[in-house]
Amino acid sequence: MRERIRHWLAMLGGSPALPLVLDRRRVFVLPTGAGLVFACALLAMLLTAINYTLSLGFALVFMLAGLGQVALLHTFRTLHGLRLREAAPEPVFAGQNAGFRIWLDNDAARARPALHFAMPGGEETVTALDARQSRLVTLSLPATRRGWLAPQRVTLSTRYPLGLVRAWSYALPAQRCLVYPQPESRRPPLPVHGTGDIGQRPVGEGSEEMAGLRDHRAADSPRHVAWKAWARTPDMPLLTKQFEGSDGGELWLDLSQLPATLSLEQQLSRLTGWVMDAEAAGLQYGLVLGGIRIAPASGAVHRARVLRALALYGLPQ
Amino acid sequence: MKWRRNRGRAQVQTRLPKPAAEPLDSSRIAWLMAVAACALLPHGSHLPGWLLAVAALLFTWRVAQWRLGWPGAGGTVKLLVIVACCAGVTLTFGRLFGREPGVALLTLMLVLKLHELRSTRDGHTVVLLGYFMLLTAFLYSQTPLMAASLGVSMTVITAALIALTGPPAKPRALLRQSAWMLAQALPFMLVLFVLFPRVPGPLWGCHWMLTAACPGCPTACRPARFPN
Repeated sequence: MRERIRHWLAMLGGSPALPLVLDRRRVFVLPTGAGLVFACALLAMLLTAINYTLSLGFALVFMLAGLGQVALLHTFRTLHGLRLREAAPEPVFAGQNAGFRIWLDNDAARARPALHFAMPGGEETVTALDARQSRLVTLSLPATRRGWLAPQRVTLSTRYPLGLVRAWSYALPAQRCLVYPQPESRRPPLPVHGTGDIGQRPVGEGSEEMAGLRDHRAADSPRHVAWKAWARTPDMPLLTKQFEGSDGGELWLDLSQLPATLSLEQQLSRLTGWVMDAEAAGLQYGLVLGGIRIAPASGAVHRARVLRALALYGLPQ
Repeated sequence: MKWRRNRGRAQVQTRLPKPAAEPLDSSRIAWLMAVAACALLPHGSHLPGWLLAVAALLFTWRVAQWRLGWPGAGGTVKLLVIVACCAGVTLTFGRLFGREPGVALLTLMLVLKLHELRSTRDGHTVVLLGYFMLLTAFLYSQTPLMAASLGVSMTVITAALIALTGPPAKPRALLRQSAWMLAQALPFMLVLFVLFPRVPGPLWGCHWMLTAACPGCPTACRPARFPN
């Protein structure tokens, strides 16, 4: 019932989809609990003033009643006229918090302190805007599963300045956040031999080609330790780069090569972890996911492309 | 509103729990003590000396707790103070309810509330008690001086109310904001003050309250003494 009322309120001033400007039809005001207590106290004070015919008492009570009206107006104006724009959310891994980002533009010459943002299921965020300031606010929502995470309706509210009145409004971000599979934490080392024979990578200078990583052994030369990988994740044990001859194969991460005892999610988790390892080690890697085949490469763009394929594999669009 | 510009631009956003559970920080507690001081000062002339001493002691204790980190008053101490003061009020005024005992008990409540400031709600209680104490001060005196002190006290108490809700700010900025809001409320007050109907006499039969300290009035009346 509450949810239906909220939904109806949110649609009252037009669709809450971003971008939007909080015009007066979108901003709702109601007294808070403290405001109601304040009103009751005023009533008691008024009765006292009447009963003892206190002239200054009347002045005090009417002043406070006027203050309540002024608070209503000020609280309303804290939200009124605020502009909201959406910023694309950054992809995250499952288990992390997805961050839905909204740009707040304050075109007014007045500051807007104590703005509260809440998304159902996420934590409340408090921010403040100075006069003619823009600010990016991030609303976090726990990302539990891979795939697309849709944002919930955002409630932005304020009780500033007196806390007697709450003004609120709704906004609905449109852009979904991409959630990558959670990298397997205790994963086996990268498969050294690629599975594919498609697409020979041009062999670089030198006869030796780095092919993969395995656990560090005491006898390994320090020159072959994957310091770069270790520097990125110091918690991990040391890895040693493994080199192959000139016939060095590609590093192909293939879903079908993983043990069938693992569930699909576990397999995707492991592949995700390997993508991170391969990227950290500076390797070129490709991906085979059923019918999807991504040619070996490296770099942030390639990584994003591979992780996206892993995130969306087997999900209905 | 200069103070708002002074706030750090680098500050991104802070996550806070629900406002009701938010503990009061040091500056807000200082504001609430200012509220209590403003509300109690006009009552200094008529409260019984022993109660003033108790209030001053509890207030000083709270200031020491705030400035010097003394331990606060525990539940037992508060209970003892309440019982002792109720007994004292009954002995002084001959009763526990009514106008003078009521003001005395409100005074006690206000200083005791200073010793249990845990949440914003406690802060709001202190502010409302403060406003009410301002009103009760007019029971004893309605001189122009009182009217002037009313303006000052209201500005301070309203500034405390803003401090409870708003982000941390300088005291001067809060006072300016408070004065500005009160100035905006002034026309509303004037209109209501002129237009509001005044009922002559009390609303209900509490004549004995009104005549509590009226010399020359009979303490008991029989029908035979007033033929009309």
